[in-house]
Amino acid sequence: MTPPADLGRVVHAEWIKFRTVRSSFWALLTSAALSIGLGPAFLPTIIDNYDGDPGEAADVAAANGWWFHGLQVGTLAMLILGVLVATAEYASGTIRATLAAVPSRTRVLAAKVACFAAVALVAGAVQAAGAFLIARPFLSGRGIDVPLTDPAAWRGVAISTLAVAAAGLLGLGAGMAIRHTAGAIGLAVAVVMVVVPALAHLLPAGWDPLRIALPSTAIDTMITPTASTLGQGPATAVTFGYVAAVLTVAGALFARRDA
Amino acid sequence: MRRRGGHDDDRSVIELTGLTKRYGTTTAVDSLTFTAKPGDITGFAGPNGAGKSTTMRLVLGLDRPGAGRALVDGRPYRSYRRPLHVLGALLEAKSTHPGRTARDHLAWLAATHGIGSGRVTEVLRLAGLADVARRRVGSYSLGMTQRLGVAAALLGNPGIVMLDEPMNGLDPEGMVWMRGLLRDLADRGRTVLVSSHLMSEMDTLADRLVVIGRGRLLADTTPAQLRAGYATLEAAFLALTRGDVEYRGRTAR
Repeated sequence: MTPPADLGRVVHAEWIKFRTVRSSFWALLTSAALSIGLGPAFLPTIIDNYDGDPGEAADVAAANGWWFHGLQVGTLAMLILGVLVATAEYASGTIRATLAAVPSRTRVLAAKVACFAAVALVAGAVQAAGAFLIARPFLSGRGIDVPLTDPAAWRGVAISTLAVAAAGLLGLGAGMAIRHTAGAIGLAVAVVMVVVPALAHLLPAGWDPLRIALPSTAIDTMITPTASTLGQGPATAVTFGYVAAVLTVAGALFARRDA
Repeated sequence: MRRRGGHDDDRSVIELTGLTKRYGTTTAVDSLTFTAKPGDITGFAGPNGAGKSTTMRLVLGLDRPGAGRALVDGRPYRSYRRPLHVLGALLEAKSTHPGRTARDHLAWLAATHGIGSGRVTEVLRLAGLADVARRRVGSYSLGMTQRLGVAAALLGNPGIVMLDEPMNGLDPEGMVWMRGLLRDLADRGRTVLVSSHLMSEMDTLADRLVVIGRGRLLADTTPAQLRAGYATLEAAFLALTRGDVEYRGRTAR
């Protein structure tokens, strides 16, 4: 009865919970449809606005993730799914059965994070790769040929995959901390992802360092590097910094509070 | 020698010592001390709001006590890595997702302990849910939900069973089944702690009776001793808890 084997059982239990409610399936489908389906809608404008060397368009497209703009919407759906995975436990009372079976709060949270991170990574990989693959014919129609094996394109797919997973984990952490569906979605989506960025745009230029360090900006920059001056690497670090912070707060509250 | 499941062990007890829980300024459980022992059905009674459900939440470690302790088989519930083999509980508040089937609910519970699907089938059959196991719990009647709760409580074959108002919503056949089940568990040396408002039920079923009011212990006795001098156990209960009733209805005029 080693701890890792035990944790594996709890992760397995979390996976059964996830796959045995229909809302999981619908949320994954919605997220994928938005991420992949919306991508081509952004492409004509991006191509029209490109005024660089036509011979370099394919490289610029791959480096800047032209086909990932749909993912900025898809990540919101993944964030909401993360919230629901946590708050559905509280809304249904399942959390009482969970803690009766696994009294250690740490193990419950660790298992939830491990299970949902795996789900979100797979979903993110499908979405990012799908967005790239569906964009290729649109681009070739405009004379921009990105090779299927382009390393820069797949690097973008990898980082976007991480961005989708990070959004899901932010939602999971917010859900575990706040416990109420409406409150957690309201805070995570409306306040953090929409209202705060909108307000930040009203700030004078001197506030740019704050603006680009917002979670919404960091996630967008991971997906499409032109979203800010932060750069993809630092944006990834900032994003996972937020993930770690939110999960730490959620874990501390979970350990202390009555269930 | 201690065995897993512990139901052949004299220490398969729930032991509360000075257990206290406050929510804000309200004292829900107040210095509560009693023990539920193997082989007995221990009835746990008290008016609405007396603290029965809170006590059970404290035993399970869902809430932390402000003072005192609740030990299960000599240890706090939260210290067990596989608690379903030690104590199985049915709480009054719902703890199942309406979109999940009964079998899936038991399947994830079983997975936390590495319990096989054979045992899941067994407890579904025991609870009379085998034919409806693939229906979503949201479509269940209250009685069927209670049966699923009992199936979940028995999943780990525990030495201790703790049930909060298990008779709620059961049809007559269900009541007979529940009585038989509890009696059988106690006869096989398990510890059974069961709360109920049904005094006639407690009278025939319980070997011991713990009565609380406003979170405090009012009596730790047997139904026969409490009934002495009264026409029914219910009359004795009402007399005992008269000063500790939080909610009292009036006769319509």
